[in-house]
Amino acid sequence: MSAGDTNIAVEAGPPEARAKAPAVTPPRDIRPWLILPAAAAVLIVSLLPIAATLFFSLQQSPGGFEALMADARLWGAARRTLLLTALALPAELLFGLALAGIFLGRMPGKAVFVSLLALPALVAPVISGTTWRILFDNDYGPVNYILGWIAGGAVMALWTNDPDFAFSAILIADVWQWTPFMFVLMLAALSNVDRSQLEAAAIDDAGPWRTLYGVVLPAIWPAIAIAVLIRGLDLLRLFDVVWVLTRGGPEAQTETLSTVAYERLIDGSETSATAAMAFAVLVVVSLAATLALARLGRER
Amino acid sequence: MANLVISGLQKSFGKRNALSGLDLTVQDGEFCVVVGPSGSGKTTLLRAVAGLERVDAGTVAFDGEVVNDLQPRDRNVALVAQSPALFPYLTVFENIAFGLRARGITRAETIQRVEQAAEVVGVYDLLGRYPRKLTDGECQMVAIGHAIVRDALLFLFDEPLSRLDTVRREAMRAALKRLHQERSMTAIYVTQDQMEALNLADRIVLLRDGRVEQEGVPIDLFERPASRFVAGFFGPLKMNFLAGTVARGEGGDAVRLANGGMSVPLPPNRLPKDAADGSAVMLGLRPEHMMRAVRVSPPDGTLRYEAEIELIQPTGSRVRATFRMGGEPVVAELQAHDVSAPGEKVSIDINLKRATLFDAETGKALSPTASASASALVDGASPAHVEDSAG
Amino acid sequence: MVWLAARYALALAALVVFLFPLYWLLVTALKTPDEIFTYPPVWWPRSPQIGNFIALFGGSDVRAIVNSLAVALLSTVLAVGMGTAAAYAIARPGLGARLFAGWAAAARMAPPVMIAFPFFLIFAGIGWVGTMAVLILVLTAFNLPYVLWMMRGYFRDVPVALEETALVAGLTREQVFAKVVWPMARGGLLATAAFTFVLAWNELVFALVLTQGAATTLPAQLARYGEQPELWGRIAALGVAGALPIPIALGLMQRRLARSLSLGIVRG
Repeated sequence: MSAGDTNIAVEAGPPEARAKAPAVTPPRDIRPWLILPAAAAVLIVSLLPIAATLFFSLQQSPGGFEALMADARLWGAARRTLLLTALALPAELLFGLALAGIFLGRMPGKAVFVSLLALPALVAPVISGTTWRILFDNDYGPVNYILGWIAGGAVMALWTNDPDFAFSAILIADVWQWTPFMFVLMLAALSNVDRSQLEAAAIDDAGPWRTLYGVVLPAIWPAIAIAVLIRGLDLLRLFDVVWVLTRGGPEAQTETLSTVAYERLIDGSETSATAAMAFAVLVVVSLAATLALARLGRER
Repeated sequence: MANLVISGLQKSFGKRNALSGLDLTVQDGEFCVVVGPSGSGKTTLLRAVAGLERVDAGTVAFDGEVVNDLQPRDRNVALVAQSPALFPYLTVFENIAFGLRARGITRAETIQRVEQAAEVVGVYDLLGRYPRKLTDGECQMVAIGHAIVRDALLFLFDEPLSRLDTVRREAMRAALKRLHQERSMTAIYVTQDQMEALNLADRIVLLRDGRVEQEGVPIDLFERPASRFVAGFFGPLKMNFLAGTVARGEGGDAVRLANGGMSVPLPPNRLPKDAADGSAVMLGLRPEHMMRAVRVSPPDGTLRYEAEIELIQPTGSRVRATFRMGGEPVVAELQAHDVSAPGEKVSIDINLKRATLFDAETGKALSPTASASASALVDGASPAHVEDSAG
Repeated sequence: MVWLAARYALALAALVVFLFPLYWLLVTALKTPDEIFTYPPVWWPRSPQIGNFIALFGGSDVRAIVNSLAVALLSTVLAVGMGTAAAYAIARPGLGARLFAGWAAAARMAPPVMIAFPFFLIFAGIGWVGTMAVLILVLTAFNLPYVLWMMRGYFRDVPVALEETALVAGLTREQVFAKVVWPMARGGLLATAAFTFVLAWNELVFALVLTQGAATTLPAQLARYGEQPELWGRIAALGVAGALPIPIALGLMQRRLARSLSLGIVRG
């Protein structure tokens, strides 16, 4: 139950009784049938890949983890993926917060704005990549045109040919698409900050920084945490946008972990090294996410 | 209607014992009020009777039939919980009517019953509203309406009037009393308000730590408390407790107060036979059993005490006057004009015939020697003057 | 007052920035090829052509769209059905329910490629690759944890006191579900179903790995176009088609958007 329950119906009986509430759980005999299909699906989806990747990583020789160590391409991709994450995540968070700041407080028509601004986050990343490919076109894309208009002279950025520009293109596309994600979350979290606490801080004559630090930050901390978790993991497995924008090019200079894994899957090459990497990533991600979620979604 | 027999009920939540061997019988048509401090098991008791909690041990029986394994819906009880649980997506009318159709009541009769119940609890004008538009108090009334609209065997009320303002509360109390007279409901009614308890109860049950401490007609718990706990619980004015030891002598029995050694003479046979000389006791004196001395000599069984009033708390036509006896503060309820200012010296007659003695260790009340209870009232015990040995 | 005006101005600016790419996509789909390949760019076509959209129906694109619809709908229905049932069963505490649900949600966080990898190898071994059924199964399993996690939250939001009131009032368990739990949870169900549909509809990697040719979905089709600038008009049209369900889904989610996006941590 949420902390701020409506005044209509709160608990019935002492807190421990409420927690157990045996009267309202489905009866023992039905329960397994309700859970079984879902449990089976979850088990398959979570355990099978781990087992399979482990299996495959030990297949060939040189064995998976040794081959992994020697795999320059994979490490390059890993480095790049991390770099992308490290750049995109803070950018999206900050821009999202800034956007949220615009909409805090009464604003007629706010809902319309928010819905429209949320669109990029729900559109398929594949479509986002396609769109930006057209936008970033060296010769005909509006991006170069707008940049030229700003810079005062013709700009010919080689978005598709130059590795650094290509990297930036991916970054920009991602930030464009997911800043609204951060925006929606931050706006909701900020709007939920306890008004009475803010008023108390105002009465205590706490300056804007004190209020921010003491009242706002603790209140929106879970939102930031889950947003960073979700987006961080999304970035680590970035595929769609990269694949469509650059195919990992030029010359494999913008590959991410997932694109490498995908290409290898298609080739059928280096399976054990890839599997080893996959296994490591899966285990780490699963553990981290489970623990984080269990802690964040704490029973109230 | 049915009679309810609860026997040996046990229920714990983890390490906490909510009910530890509770026995209670409620007769058919009896309005039984349950009181007790927080955590004494009142809510758990109601939930267990309703079937919302499975008990660890003991039985609940309606009309002799054990219902432990019956689902709530089959027990045909009505429960008004502590916080009103209304359906936010239903109107007040629909909330009150909830469940009637499931029991096969026709639409026409439903309307009639709901309107009737709504009138009794005073929400007739709110029938079309939704709960979010109601105050807490109104929500509670709707919940009560929902309970009384049924032909339940047993009514369970968990502090139903706690969220109402005083005026509404008294009106509702009267309405419930009237309802009980008309319908003769078998009910268990939990409340923290003692006035309410005394008002509504056919019988009062005091719970403590998941067990029945004492039960009986209201006057019994007031006049003849079984233990110090009971005595200290009741009465808007708390009973005064003075620690002392038993002093038996040829001139009669007395309690020697711990603080200062003052000797309070007791009416004859006030002590049970087996009370040993020197055993530790608590002397319980109710403020209502003290009055300003009017006669020249104190009446039988009365202790006349020269008190120096320390504190005066007016309560309308009366005052609560605090003075010291044996160094301990004692509160007496006097008439307003009896005392005017702190520091005044007043002669107070303390009726020792109504005093209660408690074993200092167990807290249990010490009942007078059997033959004495009648004679204590008529015996012409010689008046006793007090010499305060401390000064 | 001035500040409010400034906020609206900033809001409009943000709108322009964030909607411009989508606008460009739509506009590109409506242009003729010369309008696409000119510099300076054409901001609005002289006369919008729907030719590109019609061209979609000619080839394999329309089949991809239909496939996407089928896959997304079926996997959503399955995931929502199974997930909601399980969520109701584990809604109240106990059973290590929260840990189970958390593990389930975490399973969704793994990179699809890493999951698709072993699935592909296994299915290839059985000879089952390339069909829509496989994709539906995998997507159902992949999205089910999300449904489970979210619906558990929505069920837990139904106050126990209400269920108890209904029980005491004489309703059977089934009636309690139908008359108390369902009315209060169905809004959440709708939002969850809409979001799950979007997840399935947008999904690329599994579709790329597990389906080809006739069984492929819209995102995979789009990705496979690759570098063919001459087809940009048609590609853009396909992209627009792929974006169409989004506003509908948004409408269904209404005020539950933040909650759906944040796995229930942030209440809108």
